[in-house]
Amino acid sequence: MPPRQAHALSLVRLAKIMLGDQSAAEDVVQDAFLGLYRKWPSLQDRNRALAYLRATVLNACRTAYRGSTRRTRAMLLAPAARDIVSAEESALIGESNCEVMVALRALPARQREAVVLRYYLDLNEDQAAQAMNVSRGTVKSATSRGRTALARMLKEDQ
Amino acid sequence: VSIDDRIRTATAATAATVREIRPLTLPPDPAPARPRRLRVPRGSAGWLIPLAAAVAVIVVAAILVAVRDVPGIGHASAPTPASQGQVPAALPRYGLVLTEAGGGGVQYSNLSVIDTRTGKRVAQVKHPAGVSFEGVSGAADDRTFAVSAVSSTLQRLPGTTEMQSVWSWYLLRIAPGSSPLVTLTKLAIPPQPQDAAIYGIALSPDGRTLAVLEWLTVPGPWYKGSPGTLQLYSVARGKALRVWQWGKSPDPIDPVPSYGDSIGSDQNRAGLTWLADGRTLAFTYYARGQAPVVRTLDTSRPGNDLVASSREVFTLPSSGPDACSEARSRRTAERWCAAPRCWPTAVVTRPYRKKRWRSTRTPPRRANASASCTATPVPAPGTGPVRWAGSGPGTRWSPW
Repeated sequence: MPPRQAHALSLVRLAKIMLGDQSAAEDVVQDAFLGLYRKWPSLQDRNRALAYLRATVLNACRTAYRGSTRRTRAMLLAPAARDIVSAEESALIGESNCEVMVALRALPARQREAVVLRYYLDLNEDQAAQAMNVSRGTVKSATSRGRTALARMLKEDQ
Repeated sequence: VSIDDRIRTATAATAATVREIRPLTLPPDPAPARPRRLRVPRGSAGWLIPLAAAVAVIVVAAILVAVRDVPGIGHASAPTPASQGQVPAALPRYGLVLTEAGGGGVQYSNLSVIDTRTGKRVAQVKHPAGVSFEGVSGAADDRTFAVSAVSSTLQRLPGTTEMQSVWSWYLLRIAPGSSPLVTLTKLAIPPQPQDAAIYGIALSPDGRTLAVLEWLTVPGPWYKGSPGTLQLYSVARGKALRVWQWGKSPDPIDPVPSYGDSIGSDQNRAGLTWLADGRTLAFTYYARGQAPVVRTLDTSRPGNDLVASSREVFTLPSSGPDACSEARSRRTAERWCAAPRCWPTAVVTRPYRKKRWRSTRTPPRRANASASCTATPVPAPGTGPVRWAGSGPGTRWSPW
């Protein structure tokens, strides 16, 4: 697999966690790469292309997610959270993991991003701050709040 | 189980559900870096730079004038490769790439002129309205190319009543240093109906003759006595100079082996190639029930039967992607296999017309045979070393 495709795969995985839908995740990553190609001439530090891609993907996920939940709510008038994890996905990852994903997607966008970057990608606070384009303090508080909220939601579920 | 662990497990499990993704669809290479302005520190003698440039130009001009009069070095006595019909030993300077142009239901292809020394696209030739470029063949000077094109708008060919899509041919010339850099001229070669299967096009090393190997069963004024023909056309006048017939024997279904398209390129499944002498053509030929062979045809000798006039030089392995590498062990075939690699031929970014791929990447099965013929390391666009992101036709620049 060429390096570009390998990077794309890891980015699609990140976007899938954020969005819950692989096809939407692939679209987001494709757009991010196209954006990078357009930006290529003016990119200051080309070694940071991956960081740039990651930030673009997160940003696009935020937009896409906002749109999709709004649509879901409007069309189905159903509690938004349950629809966010598809039946297929829940069968693949199991009941317990599914609960976590539902709770995760119910978090405010910034908290969700902070939690995913810190726990899934194992980024340190500086790297996460860079990817989210916020300060280090914001990452710290968003992670802590997100984690507390998740713990509360999961406890309520049981 | 702590909440941290639960988050880690759940996200990792979700990520693991993504096993395969569709390939990225990207432009051939990232746009080249914009030139930065030269900064001259304040207080230094910045005015010296234009002056030095002017002096350099004058010196070069003076040397050129002096050298022109020295016998043996002058312009008139230095033959260009094109006039001698020789294969350039090194990588040719310019190459053409067929690139898919997006848009609606009809797919069109444009042409990009690539400078192989920098890897940059130096010019793009947009397809004429209603016409898509399909195949390319270059002369030895790598400044002259023949381009085959098919129309998507229907035309009435002379002597027929039906409206149909037609094949036509263009000549593309690259004139470095002039403006426009690239000129495209439609050739006067009589158009053919789209039913013609073009198995090979080859522009002669001197750029004066275009050889077209085709298969056409539709009757009409273009019918030359047999379904298969090899014709030589004059590039300047479009007149058919020679016709060889082939394929008269009972109904060959697919007269050219299909694996030929992994050795040749689009529009050249038969690997039709001029040898360096400028008069011998090499091509693969496949009689039904027999192994495909490489034949050479001396176009200066009389005769109009392709098989009888040509000579079999090598039997290809009957199938398989390693035809090119296996053939390399034999001397004659080595020459034949090496020719397309040295020739300024097209790197085709799209496999075969009949198959429609969602992306412009070619499927991996074709990579083996043609990797050595087409993938040539080329200097990087922008900074740092750039690798081919794969091998064979359909390769793209990778920014990493």
